Amino acid sequence: MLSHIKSRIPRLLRSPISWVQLIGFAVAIATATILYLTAMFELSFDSFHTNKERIGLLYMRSEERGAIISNSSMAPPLAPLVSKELPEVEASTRVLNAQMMLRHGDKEIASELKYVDASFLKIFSFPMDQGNETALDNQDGLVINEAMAESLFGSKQVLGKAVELNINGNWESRIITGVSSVNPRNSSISFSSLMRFEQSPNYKELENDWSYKNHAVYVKLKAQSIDAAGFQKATVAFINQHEKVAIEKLKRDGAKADANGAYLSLRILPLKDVHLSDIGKGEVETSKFPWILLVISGLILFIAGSNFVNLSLASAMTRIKEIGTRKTIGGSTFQLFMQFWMESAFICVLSLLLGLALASLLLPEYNATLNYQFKIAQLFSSLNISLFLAAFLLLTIITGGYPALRMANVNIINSLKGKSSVKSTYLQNSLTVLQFSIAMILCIATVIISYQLHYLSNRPLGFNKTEVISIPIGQGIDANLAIERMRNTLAAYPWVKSVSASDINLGRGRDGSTSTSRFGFDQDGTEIVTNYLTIDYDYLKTLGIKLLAGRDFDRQHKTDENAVLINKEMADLLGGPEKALNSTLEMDNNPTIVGIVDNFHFHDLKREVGPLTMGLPIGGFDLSYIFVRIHSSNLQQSLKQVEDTWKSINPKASIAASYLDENTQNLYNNDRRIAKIVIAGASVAIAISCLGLFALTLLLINGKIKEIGIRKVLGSSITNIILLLSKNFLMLIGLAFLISTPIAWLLMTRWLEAFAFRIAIQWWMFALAGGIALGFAMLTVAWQTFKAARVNPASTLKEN
Amino acid sequence: MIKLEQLFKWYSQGNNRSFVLKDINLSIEAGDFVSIMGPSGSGKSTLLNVIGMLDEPNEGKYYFMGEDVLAMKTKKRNQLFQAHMGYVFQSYHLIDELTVYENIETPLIYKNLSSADRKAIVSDLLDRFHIVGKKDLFPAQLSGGQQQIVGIARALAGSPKVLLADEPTGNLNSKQGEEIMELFTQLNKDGVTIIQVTHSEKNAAYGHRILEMLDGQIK
Ligand SMILES: Nc1ncnc2c1ncn2[C@@H]1O[C@H](COP(=O)(O)OP(=O)(O)OP(=O)(O)O)[C@@H](O)[C@H]1O
Ligand SMILES: [Mg+2]
Repeated sequence: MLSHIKSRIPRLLRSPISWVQLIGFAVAIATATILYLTAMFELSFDSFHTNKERIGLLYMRSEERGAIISNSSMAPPLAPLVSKELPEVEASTRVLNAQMMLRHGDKEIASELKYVDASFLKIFSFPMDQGNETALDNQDGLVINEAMAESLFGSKQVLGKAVELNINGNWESRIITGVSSVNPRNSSISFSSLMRFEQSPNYKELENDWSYKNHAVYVKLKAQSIDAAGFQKATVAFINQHEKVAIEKLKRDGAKADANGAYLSLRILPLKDVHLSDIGKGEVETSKFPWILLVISGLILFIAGSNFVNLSLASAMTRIKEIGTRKTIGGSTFQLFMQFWMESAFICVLSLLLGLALASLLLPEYNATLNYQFKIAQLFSSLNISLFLAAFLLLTIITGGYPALRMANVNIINSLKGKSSVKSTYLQNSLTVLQFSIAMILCIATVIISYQLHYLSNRPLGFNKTEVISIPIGQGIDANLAIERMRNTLAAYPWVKSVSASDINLGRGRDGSTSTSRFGFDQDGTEIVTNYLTIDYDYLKTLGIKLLAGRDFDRQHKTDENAVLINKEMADLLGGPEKALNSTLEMDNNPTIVGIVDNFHFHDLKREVGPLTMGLPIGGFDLSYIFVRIHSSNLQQSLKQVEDTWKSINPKASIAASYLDENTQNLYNNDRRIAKIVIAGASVAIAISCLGLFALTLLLINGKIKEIGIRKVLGSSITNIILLLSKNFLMLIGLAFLISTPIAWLLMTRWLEAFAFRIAIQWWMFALAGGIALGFAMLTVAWQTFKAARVNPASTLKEN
Repeated sequence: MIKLEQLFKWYSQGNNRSFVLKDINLSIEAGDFVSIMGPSGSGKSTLLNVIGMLDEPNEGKYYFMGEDVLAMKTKKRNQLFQAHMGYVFQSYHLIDELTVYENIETPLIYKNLSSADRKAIVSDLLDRFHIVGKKDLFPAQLSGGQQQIVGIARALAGSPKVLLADEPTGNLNSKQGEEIMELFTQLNKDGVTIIQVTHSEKNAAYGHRILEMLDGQIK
């Protein structure tokens, strides 16, 4: 047997079919490997915590004005009460995001700080380098990670050493009570320092405030696993007691109760779903992203596998006489089977090696584009290896064994006469239809996703995003002072048109943060929930937002410190622009509405605009982003000059400035990532499907060489022959189109539903995708048949 | 009708030319019945293929009905030959998926005849060769002799002036072979020029003259 394969290798390597098999399969393996790595990474989030089955994130759910609202921001009193009053809960911890400047000697570094409870280190299993889970048991405990330690001290051995923290502008000294490892990349909670929640700003005032919700709460249950529905029932009384005021308001304002009759319910999201879930809009849903990846990689492997079968059959066809001869000289069916199986196993092994090599070549580029850190070596875990081995064995048995069985069972007499043809069967036709359906679905998805993304980036946002630079102010400098200095310095440049600021960025800037702040208040007896934006003077001018009525904030009007601007949506809530203008809002300080602006998209386009109130930074939130409108022919250079100015004002600035165009694009990074993967998947699927078609054409032509010759002798034109041979494939591809269209329509309609602003699916998108697939397929078939049709009949009709 | 002058055909094998036809000079008049004989590998089939333009010579002249075939455009040449030549093969070369009727009809479809015309011609041929009863059978359901009769009927469907037959009786027993030869004699009387290749002295004798081939040359 081995000697057989040895003698076959040179012939295998000379046959173009083997190469098509090899390359097709290798590309599929490379693609599937990369997608598999990605999916496994996404699914592995937070799996390193020992108690992962028992940990969950709390969120509240209500339904107001027809919109379901899920919110994981909690009030400070909640977590301690949850631990105390709910018997199901073993421990809970609050987690508040913040930034903190740390100093040691002349080294000063901004750290990503989480204010947490002492139980944080006990609930989670973040690996500790020094110290242990009791590190935060004392109020003044401070944990930093080893990277922080390294940059501050030049050493990881910093337990018990003192470091200075910048608290409200003053440097205070703290003793380091623990050093943690750098968070694993698959951790949904990331930090470079930890402090007790009680140390957070304004803790004393907010300790018992149920209306100020700014942090997440994680709980560890006593049960071995999380029963989300059970938890929700168990917390009904708790929520009714502590959120009485909120519930009354919801009832009064016509909110809807959920299936259990609760207006506001406390729910739990298992830790394993936290990374993939989006809490905020609508019902909490876990993203299917990793599963989409696994499905796509499975589909690609499936396409490649069925191709392998077709190609093996096609090439076996040319050896039908050899098989007949081998059988007459005593080769058993089993021996023939083994021979074919070994041949395909040989090609499979080569494909695997080539595929892995290809994957490791592609990974650096892939990592760079999609911001991952995968290595091929990660594949060699015992789970992956056994999975791969099993899949590989199955694949070779099917791909090698099936054609082997078909060929081995061929009738001896017929095969000796060279008459028997292994015709394309029902199975092969179905496989082709399936392959092309898959490829076309991916193609249609590609067209629709690309079009939607194009639509999003070109939709008017209500503000002018071009030529506006956004600068995150960051920690370590007084915001108002910084803005003042920027205004004064930039005034020297003629190309700087105006400077303003706000507390929330537009789009997603280089600091990676997006947020909104909302709150409700009672106006004329109903609760109005509005988004709130703290802005500086010249905001409308800088961002090109249209004023509909009234005026912008004005430094001349001293009373503007207690005035607000609202958007049209908000004005409509208040009974229309006429009524709203110059009236007062019944929120803190009762500000007067001095202006109404047109709606603009301060969120991404997945959401409707929503009501918005904007006020100057007095007593409200701090300004965090500076906006600079410029007018310049060299945007790159202007950005640099603005940045240089900013560096001279705030030398500690660590986050780069960026244009708003870029920021608004960044909002859809996730969608763009899915788009890229779907497009890549579609291309690979189409390429491999066409290889499959190539095989089938070859198979068909092999069986029809004589018929083609006869027909030519009888007077058929080449066009006629091409038509005759490709008619069947055209039908199969047409069938695939019919199958893929409704499926793609359904899938894409669901995907588009996530966007408040979306394109309508149109017939030409299907036509385009179908056309692309059909075009490639026809090229493959027509080329092959053309070659076959041109062959001189004298050579194919030779008598033997 | 057919005139070959200093015709050569060779295959290149490396630097060597292996000649299959060497300096063939041949003239065949309309209404002739020629039998070609010779040992295996002597180039009989090649000569027949060249006459039928299924294969091209490397050198020489070929005149068909007074026209210089090798100087013609491919398309025109194909039209000329498809209009005037019929081919019969040793192994019949019927299309397996088509019935007897459809096999005979195929060349007429390529000639763009109307279905009524096709029907008339095919029925006439089925009648003439006494195979009306077999018209709906597939080639695999016929004996070798019957298949060859269908093959000849198909070759005659386009009413060719010349019939080329490469060992038409090669796969048949002597009785069946005789029947085919009777058929050829009758066709020849009706005015069809026939050129056949055969290994059988007896069948060759049905022709008006016999060409002996040896090593690519006519003796
Ligand atoms: N494609 C080819 N390449 C090289 N040599 C060829 C090719 N086709 C035919 N030949 C050679 O041409 C010669 C003539 O072949 P041809 O088929 O005309 O013989 P034939 O007289 O018909 O023999 P038979 O009686 O066995 O049918 C043979 O020697 C054959 O080897
Ligand atoms: Mg011959």
